[in-house]
Amino acid sequence: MISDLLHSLPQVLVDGLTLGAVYAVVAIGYTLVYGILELINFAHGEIFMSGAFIGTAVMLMFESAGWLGAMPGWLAYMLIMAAAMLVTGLMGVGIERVAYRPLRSAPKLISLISAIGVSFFLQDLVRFIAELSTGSYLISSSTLYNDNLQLRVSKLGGSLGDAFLKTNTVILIVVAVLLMVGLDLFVKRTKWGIAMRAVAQDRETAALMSINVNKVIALTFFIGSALGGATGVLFAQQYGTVDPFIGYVLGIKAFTAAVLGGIGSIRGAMFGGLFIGMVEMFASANLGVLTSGNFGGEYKDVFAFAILIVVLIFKPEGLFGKAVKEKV
Amino acid sequence: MTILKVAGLVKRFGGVVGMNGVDYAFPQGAISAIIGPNGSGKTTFFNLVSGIYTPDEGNIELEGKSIVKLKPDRIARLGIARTFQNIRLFGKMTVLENVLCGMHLQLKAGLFGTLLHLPFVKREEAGAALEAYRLLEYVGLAEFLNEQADSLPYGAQRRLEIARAMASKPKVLLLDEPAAGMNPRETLELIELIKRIQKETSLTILLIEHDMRLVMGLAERIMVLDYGTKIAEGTPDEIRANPKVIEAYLGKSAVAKG
Repeated sequence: MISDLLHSLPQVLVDGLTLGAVYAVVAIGYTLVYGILELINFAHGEIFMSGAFIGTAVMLMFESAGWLGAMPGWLAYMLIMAAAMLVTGLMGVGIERVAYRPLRSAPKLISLISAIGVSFFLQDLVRFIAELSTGSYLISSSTLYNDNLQLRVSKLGGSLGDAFLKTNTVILIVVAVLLMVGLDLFVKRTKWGIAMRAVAQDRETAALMSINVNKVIALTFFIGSALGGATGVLFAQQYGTVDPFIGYVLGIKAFTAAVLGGIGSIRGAMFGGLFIGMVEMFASANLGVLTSGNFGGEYKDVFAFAILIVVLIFKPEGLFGKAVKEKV
Repeated sequence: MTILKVAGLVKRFGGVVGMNGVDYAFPQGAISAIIGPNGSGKTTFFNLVSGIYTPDEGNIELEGKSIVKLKPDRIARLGIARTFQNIRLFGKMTVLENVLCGMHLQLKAGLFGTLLHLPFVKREEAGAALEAYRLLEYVGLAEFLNEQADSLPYGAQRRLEIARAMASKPKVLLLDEPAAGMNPRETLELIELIKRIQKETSLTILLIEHDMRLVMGLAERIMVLDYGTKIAEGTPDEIRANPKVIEAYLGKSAVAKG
């Protein structure tokens, strides 16, 4: 059994890192908004999905216009990424303006319900548009950098097996890391990042420091949503097919990652995402072996939610979060 | 010359009148104190001036322009900065970052400049950090630069609040009980600091304080509030001799006996 586990380990690590990077960047979107508004933005999974659709749509447009062969792959990649980030960023700002700002002084539960409403609305809106224009809500486009690579880990000896991946997998991981590092620097170093943290800690005092609170909140939504949208593009390029419901479960798992890391903590969200990605891929590859065939890899989703329950019961502030006393 | 003027200022909280028709003109470049018994409306007055509360009636003018109904961040932009009775630093940020927050307005970098990390933004951020350091030196906190703000001793937190407020280069600085909870030595240092600020920057300072030594030692003009009404105004000597003030603080019998 151990040799089976070892054999699949390299592949599990590669897949886990890929999925984990996706969860991590999406989790940052949840954590940013929670940090500043104490609102769980359940529409964030749908922002991710919208990013995937916008990326795919632009890709299909390039294909049908015959531009795809005419420009280098990296340029096409950057263009679809920029388009998706811009549109999802603006969507985030719009959602905040329409669905959350009018409810800011209402009880938190009300905004939460509003968030769930926006989430369903976006799912069906995207489905409607997709079916109207293509007849099906499952959309596939050609993908860039999909040549296969083989990591010959087996040469290292033991019972380790080889790992297979695409060039795009490397791109996904690198871009995700760049996005996270960039965000971290932005929040730590820049004027607007400091303003964001100030608003997250004490909105009223921040306003008295001449910080325009509404602008900072809009900025937070823009950044969080653009990160989600960018991840959507990476995801679509990795798996080739998107549908309007990919954001739902993925969003909840990314939310779990944010809770695990300590909601409100950016570095916690990064760690939580990678951890859940790894656990899930490990389970998906090895559950059958470990339970002698009684449970297959399809039970992998159990783990993210089991983690959510355990964290909420035993350490609700998460691994990197601080226990917050209720403000009086 | 008057820099800040309030006229007929009224604020009600349900049935309670927190501020009942106060008129006052604060002279430019002077230190003015607002005193009064607990619950007399001193902090309410600051909250009205800084825009946290909107007055129900009356007017507040900064340099002749009304600031009523402006949001707190707009008022801060126009040049009113403040500290708080119960310290409200950004506790989880460093001392330097707290001062940088106060400078938010001074920095020109727009959102896109920041996101694209343009060279001028980099230069500006470096310059801002240097200026923040100078301010911290000024209030004697330079050594705590990278400490988390809520780990500072109490008196130092109060001075940090003053540095943060000064970072916005205000025209009027509101200090809400700056000496509260300080020991006598810290209070003396604070008095020196406030004197120095006023001398070197010609900033207009309004302060609320219970420590009469501090008030009498610093203020050129004093306004006395009781139950939201102005009961007296004048120089420290005039206030000390005013029977209404003694009555408000000690009760009617004290005046009769005295």
